[in-house]
Amino acid sequence: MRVLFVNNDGGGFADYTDVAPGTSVEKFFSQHLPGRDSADFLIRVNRQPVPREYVLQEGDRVTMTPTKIEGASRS
Amino acid sequence: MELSDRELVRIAGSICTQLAMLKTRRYGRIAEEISRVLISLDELHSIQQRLIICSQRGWHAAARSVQAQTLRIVTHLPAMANELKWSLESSVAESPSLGEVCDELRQLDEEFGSLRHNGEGGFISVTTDAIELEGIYLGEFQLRLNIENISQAKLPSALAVVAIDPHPAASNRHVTHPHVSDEQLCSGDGRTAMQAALAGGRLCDFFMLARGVLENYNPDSPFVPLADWEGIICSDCGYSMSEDAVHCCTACGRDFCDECMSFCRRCDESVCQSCIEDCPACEESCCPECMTDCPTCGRRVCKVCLKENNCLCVQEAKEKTNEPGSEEPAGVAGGPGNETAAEHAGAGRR
Repeated sequence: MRVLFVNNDGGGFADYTDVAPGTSVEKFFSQHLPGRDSADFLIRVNRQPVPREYVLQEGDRVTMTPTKIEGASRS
Repeated sequence: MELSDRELVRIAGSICTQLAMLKTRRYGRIAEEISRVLISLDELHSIQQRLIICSQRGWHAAARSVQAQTLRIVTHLPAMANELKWSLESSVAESPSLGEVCDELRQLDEEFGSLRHNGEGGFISVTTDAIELEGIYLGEFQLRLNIENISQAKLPSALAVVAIDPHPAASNRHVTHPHVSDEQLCSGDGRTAMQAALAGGRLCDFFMLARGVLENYNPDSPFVPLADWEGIICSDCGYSMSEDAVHCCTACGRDFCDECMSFCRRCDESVCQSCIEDCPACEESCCPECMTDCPTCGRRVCKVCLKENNCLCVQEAKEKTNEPGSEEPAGVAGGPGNETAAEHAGAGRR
């Protein structure tokens, strides 16, 4: 099945991706952002906060936005 | 939400228009980037011909020069190609529909709880919670997205970060956050993602990323480091110092650091270098309180020199008197019928 994955980490992109049926949000996170801590991200499914064990459904919109971003002093 | 559905749709409509304009501009930009790549490829083609000639005729020195040109071009090509690739990928994304932008605005209100529209200013805004970094309270910030500047896709012109109850750096009142100066956020690592979110109409992601920058501190690249945020600033050199290192000028009342402070050689009071004056007679540095105007010549001299009749005008008059054949100038020298500078000052006081 396919979900829309909006990854706001790094360059930021939005694209459809295939996921195995029964994939939880936590598993999806570790697959797509390996080595990262989910506590450092705001995770939304269909614009709503969900528990880690939420199982993704066909057509879901998954957004992962980092909460710790290093600013700078020059644009 | 404070906004009515009707107002929400109207704002979403304006944003959709801007996103469509942005897309049109992107096509123009892609054409420019393709041109740049083509120019480089043409140069490479020309270089290829020259290298063949050099090789056939055994011109090794000329071949080395041509090789250096080749290296310069191929060094820049990957960056140009990457830029073109990014522009192509970002322009492929579908523009969001009116309904999707409305959903973005509703989500924005849910995430921040404070979505507002300022019709006159032409911006939508949300407000962060109060931000405190490394024990320094910076307060709440209003994030303003200027709708008419979305089509520029340039963050500095589109987003303003306004401190609601500013707690700026002591050394620079325009810096209200280590990464905000003159209401402009320097988004650092978040820049590309924010631009992508804005170009894709993902407004909520855009604002959440901006908040992510504000809620963090990068000690490697702040406008003003948090370590120097508080303290008292020297009015002369701008040095930030602790309260116990401050010197207050008795003349102007401003604060100065040790380096920028001086003292009066007559009364020993602490005086800044802007307020201190040099007496032209004794050449000592004095505070304004110990200086006065000579009633005869109007020069600023110290009170001691005036009292001791040492003002330059007296000295000048004496020198003139000693010159052979010179006449005594009126009102300067201490001859009959004339007062000295000190007597004149004393008479004035009486």
